[in-house]
Amino acid sequence: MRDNDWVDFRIDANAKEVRGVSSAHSPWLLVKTKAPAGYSVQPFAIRLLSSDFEDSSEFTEIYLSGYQPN
Amino acid sequence: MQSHRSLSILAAGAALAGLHASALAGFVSVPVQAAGSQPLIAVNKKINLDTPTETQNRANTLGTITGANITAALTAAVSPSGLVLKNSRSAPITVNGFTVGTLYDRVWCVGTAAACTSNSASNTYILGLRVQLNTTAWNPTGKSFEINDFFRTIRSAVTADAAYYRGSANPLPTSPNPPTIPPFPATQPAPGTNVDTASSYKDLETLGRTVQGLFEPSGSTQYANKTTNNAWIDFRADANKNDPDVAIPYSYNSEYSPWLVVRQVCATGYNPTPQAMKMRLWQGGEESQTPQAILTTAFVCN
Repeated sequence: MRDNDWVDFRIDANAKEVRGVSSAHSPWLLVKTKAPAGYSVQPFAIRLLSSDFEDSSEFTEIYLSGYQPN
Repeated sequence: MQSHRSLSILAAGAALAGLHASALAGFVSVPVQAAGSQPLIAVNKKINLDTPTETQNRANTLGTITGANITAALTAAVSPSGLVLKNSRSAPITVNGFTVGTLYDRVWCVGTAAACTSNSASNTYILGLRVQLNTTAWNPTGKSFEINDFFRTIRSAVTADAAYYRGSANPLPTSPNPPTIPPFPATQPAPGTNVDTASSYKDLETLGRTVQGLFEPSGSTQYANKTTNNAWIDFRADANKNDPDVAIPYSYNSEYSPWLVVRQVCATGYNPTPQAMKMRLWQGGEESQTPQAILTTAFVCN
């Protein structure tokens, strides 16, 4: 479902990957946008999702504070 | 004749069930389960589920222990054996970096004096937990955190007995039975502030030896069977200080959980250092909240 307030970067990061090569670091994930009113740190600005499970009750999401355009 | 015979057996079963519901306060046995799946043990399940009059029967005292405070309630429950508090801790409950409540975790043993080994009670320990939740927003929905299932690790090869303590401060009345709900209070009662005496306003619904909670696996029904895991006990009870399903006088906010206690023989005692990831606090999404597990630290038997 479209949500223009968020940008999604889909990429696996896992220090001990079950399948294939481990990647303890994500890449730097950058977004360029207009922020005419500046920026600030806000709660729930970043969402990290672990959802590669058949049963959705095993999903884990973590919200973090982060920089956000005002 | 065959049908008459069946009817009489059913009637006897119903009478026994009534006796259980009204009379058997105190610990409920939660025996070791066979591998596979198991039904949850009914303690005080919700009635009128998912309707405006969803409630619990406060006259059902199955699994309750009572007294002026948790210590008095446990002391009475294990009498004439003594009760010794071995350890006590509290810790913030955090999710996404926000503190959504406080966990209280205690260890008692059954016996006399501080030494619980080599006594007549045979290394019987009681692990107890209770939470007090707040209304802090912990994700963008702004909703308060709700715990539906409280899990902790237990010894997997021996039977467990479990009970709960509702508190003594400003409690809900325990009679009459629903559906005659009044004289339940017309406004939200104040639960008190002392963790030893504060009241929970939702009762223990079910018990099981599993680490699956409400709506786990995804799509399962409220009281569906669970995959057995004898190393964990599940206490199903709702705690939420700002619960979306509040419907006074049928259902109230319960910022405190009951005291949830489990008794087992722990042949080599308990570990005085609380262990990581031995307790799981599960929000299953009863009112469409985001499912969320919090794995945290707890006392465990050796």
